Amino acid sequence: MIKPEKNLPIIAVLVFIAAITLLSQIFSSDFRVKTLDVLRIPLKLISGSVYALRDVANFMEIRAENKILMENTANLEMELLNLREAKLENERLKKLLDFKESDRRKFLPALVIARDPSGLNDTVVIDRGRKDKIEKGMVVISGSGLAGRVMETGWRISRVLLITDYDSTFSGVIERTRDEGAVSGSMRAGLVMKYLDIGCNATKGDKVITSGLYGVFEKGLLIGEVVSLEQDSSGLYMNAIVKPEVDIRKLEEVLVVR
Amino acid sequence: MILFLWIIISGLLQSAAQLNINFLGLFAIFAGLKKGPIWGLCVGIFIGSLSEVLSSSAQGLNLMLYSGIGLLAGIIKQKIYYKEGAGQEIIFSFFGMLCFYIAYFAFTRKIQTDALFTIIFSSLISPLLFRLVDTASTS
Repeated sequence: MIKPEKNLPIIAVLVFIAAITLLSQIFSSDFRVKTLDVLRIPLKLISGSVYALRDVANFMEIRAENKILMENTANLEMELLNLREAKLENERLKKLLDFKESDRRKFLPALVIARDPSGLNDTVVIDRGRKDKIEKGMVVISGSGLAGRVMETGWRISRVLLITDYDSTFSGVIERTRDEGAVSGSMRAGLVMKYLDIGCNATKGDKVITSGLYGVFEKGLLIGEVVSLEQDSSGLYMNAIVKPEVDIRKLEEVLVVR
Repeated sequence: MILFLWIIISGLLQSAAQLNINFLGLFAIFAGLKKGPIWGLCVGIFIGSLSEVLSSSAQGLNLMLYSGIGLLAGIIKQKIYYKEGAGQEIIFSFFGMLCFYIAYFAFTRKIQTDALFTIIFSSLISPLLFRLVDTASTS
């Protein structure tokens, strides 16, 4: 005779298998993004509060940073005047040469409202979506460096795959030596630039930029700088450890390149 | 009902604030230890579903892992010795979390660089969290 109490763990395991098989079908990419759209407001509220608290905690640091920025502003204003002059001159020369203006890129600011809760994927959710003309594959930058690319879009949210995620691989080039390699994410440890030529003479501090190959990212975006170089296990190539220009852990605001 | 509300709030907080504590995993273990395998499984499924939405992992993976650790905690509680107390809660949470991250690595070949820190920190705060949730659920 079957005793339910005795066989409870077996029943539970069977229910587990059946539930996982059936329920996992529901969570398609489309369903996930639509549900995230619903959760957008609470996520925005919580992340906004967390950022505000972080700012309060870092008050002294922000004050010092503000002082430096004020000083920088004065210098930049001077530079701006010179640049305006140069711009006018540039426009005159372009007219003379009948130069065709290339398409101007637009930058859309977005707020990071969520991250992967398990911490095992370097992805973030931003508060912009198809409503703001965000499309899959668009480049996301922060400050002066590359942050990632849009992998899923909802109506008012998008999920961004950061360059440090294990699933992120793209082509990069060392700016000074022009050596090309595949830049892969290594989570919070940073980035690894693989398949560099064995004779590559890159050194610590060299800047790494996107090569524009294979259409993942456009050419010339700053990725980071070389921290160290080592021979790979096969002995045929060199690997470079690259520190990303963008601090992925502190990402709060980003710009989506449209 | 209160437990599910706690789970939703913690899930959103964990996602928005990037904490080094796996609250969701702790809730699954809590449900298994307190109420047995079926309850652990049900709560695990709920947590897994929430995590599926917030995470970008392979489809169904979070669902399987969270319900799996809830179920496992329940089975271990029923079949192996478990006595309520801070020490046991820390040990169960530690091994539950360890199982979670090992299983995650087995399926995805991804490892969080500070996973061990997350496991230790989560298991250390588990007695406090379990008491908080227990008190809130009964009151």
